[in-house]
Amino acid sequence: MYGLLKLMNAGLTENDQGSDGWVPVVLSADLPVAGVMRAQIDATQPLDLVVWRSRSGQVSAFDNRCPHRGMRLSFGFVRGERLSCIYHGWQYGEDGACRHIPAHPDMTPPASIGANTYLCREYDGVIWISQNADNPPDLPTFGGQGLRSLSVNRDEADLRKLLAETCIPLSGAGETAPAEASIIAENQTSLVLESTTEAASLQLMIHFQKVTPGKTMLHIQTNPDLPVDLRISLSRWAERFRWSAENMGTMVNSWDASAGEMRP
Amino acid sequence: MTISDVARNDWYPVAIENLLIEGQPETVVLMGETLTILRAADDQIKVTAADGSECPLTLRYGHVWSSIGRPEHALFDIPEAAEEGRRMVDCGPVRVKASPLRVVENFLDIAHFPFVHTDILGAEPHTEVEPYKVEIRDTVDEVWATKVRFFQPQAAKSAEEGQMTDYMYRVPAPCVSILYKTSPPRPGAWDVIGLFVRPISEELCDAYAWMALYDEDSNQTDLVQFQQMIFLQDRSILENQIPRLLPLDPKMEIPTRADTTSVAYRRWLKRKGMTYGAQLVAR
Ligand code: FES
Ligand SMILES: [Fe+2]
Repeated sequence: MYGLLKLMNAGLTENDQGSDGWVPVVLSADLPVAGVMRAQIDATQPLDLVVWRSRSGQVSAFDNRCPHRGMRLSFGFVRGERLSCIYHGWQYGEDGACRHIPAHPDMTPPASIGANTYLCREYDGVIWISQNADNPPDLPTFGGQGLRSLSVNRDEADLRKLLAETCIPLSGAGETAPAEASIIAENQTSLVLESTTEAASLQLMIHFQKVTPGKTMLHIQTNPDLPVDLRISLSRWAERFRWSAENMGTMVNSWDASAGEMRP
Repeated sequence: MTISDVARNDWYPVAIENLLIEGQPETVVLMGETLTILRAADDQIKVTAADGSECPLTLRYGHVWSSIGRPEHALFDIPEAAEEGRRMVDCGPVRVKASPLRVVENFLDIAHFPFVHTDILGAEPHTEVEPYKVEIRDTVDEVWATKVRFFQPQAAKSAEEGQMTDYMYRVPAPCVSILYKTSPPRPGAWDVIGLFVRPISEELCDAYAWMALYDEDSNQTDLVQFQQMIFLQDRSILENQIPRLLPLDPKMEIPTRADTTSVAYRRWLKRKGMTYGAQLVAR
């Protein structure tokens, strides 16, 4: 997988997230058909976006602002292949062009009316966004399965450091102690955490989205076909990781599984 | 920020008159200044500024009106308020995190009915806004929209089935809008609904709704609840428009023919120099 990550590096620019690079905003599984969501990206120009999936499964991203009267498009709804604004029902195609204005049903909207669009690609179980049209993503396949996304009130750089110190469970329901993990590959957007014992091996691929200053979203994938109880354990691990990162600023790796959630 | 004279020297609603209890002062904020409203033992109502000075006062349409400046004109007139047989209902205030001007503009808008007040004030596929007439009446310095027609599944509390409803809109002051609509029990007459807005800041306000209806049957609570339900649906929109301030730069937002009232309202505000709650240039 390390080789893959190096390849993946080649597909990304050196620039900050949100300017030229590709930014992960949601796990594919969390944006179902006809789903509409808001995504924020902290960049030189902070971005407030709407990301939506059409009936046929196509994903698109626009500025989260309807050009008509400024309503947040993330409150809108999907009709077929169009996103409809909740205020007056103006409909936008996946290219951002306004296709229908309900107040004037017989009029073809002028081509000049449209939402501001971003590049939006679904790749290997994650939806990515970029502002730069010249630089399509060239990402390798991890073939992972989405675990969950998690918002953490810490900077991305801190989280990367803390992840290097974390232990992750290798089995469900606390059957075995969590094992030490190490970062085996890393690039501007993502890292792979691996934990291997004689009995088992596990990889987590974690994609970082800078949301607002001091707030980071982690989009976590695992290697495929893990048993359900292990997925549950990993999801709890993610919550403990967040708690440690937000409250301790250092990794707390030991816990008593029977005591349940480790929270103040 | 400095508040323009047009904004300062106008009347704004500060309380509902019959909710003021003798000897119990109420405080409200009007454009950043705290005002105290008191019904004294002699039943006289007084509005005082933070420095103790007395503020202008008008009691009309069930509300206490005041100002942080010196209004040079009397409060606008609503002749229908004096008509016999109308029920007056106060149903405010509702706090909205939006510019007071956005709140008024939304009140002038019918195209949102099928989407925001679904199955009540509008319903798909009846979304078309037919041409209507808008004018700035220079003699009275008011914006008027007339000959407005729209299909409504349940036009008012007393309406049972869908009908084409006629409307007129009147903007007698920047933070006030009055709507006239077909009265379901009396098709020849107009029900009157006023929206009186008090700016707390440029991006926060209290909106008071006031109705003068021909409706003898509905009970008061139902009428208030109906109006509040409608307004809370509007609030969920108003608090999510970007920017919060009303853009007066025509390049910022894209109107169509259905938005003629909004275009006239914005132009009128700009001409008057009413910039409190407005954004002049795109930021
Ligand atoms: S604000 Fe989106 S359709 Fe009017
Ligand atoms: Fe409305």
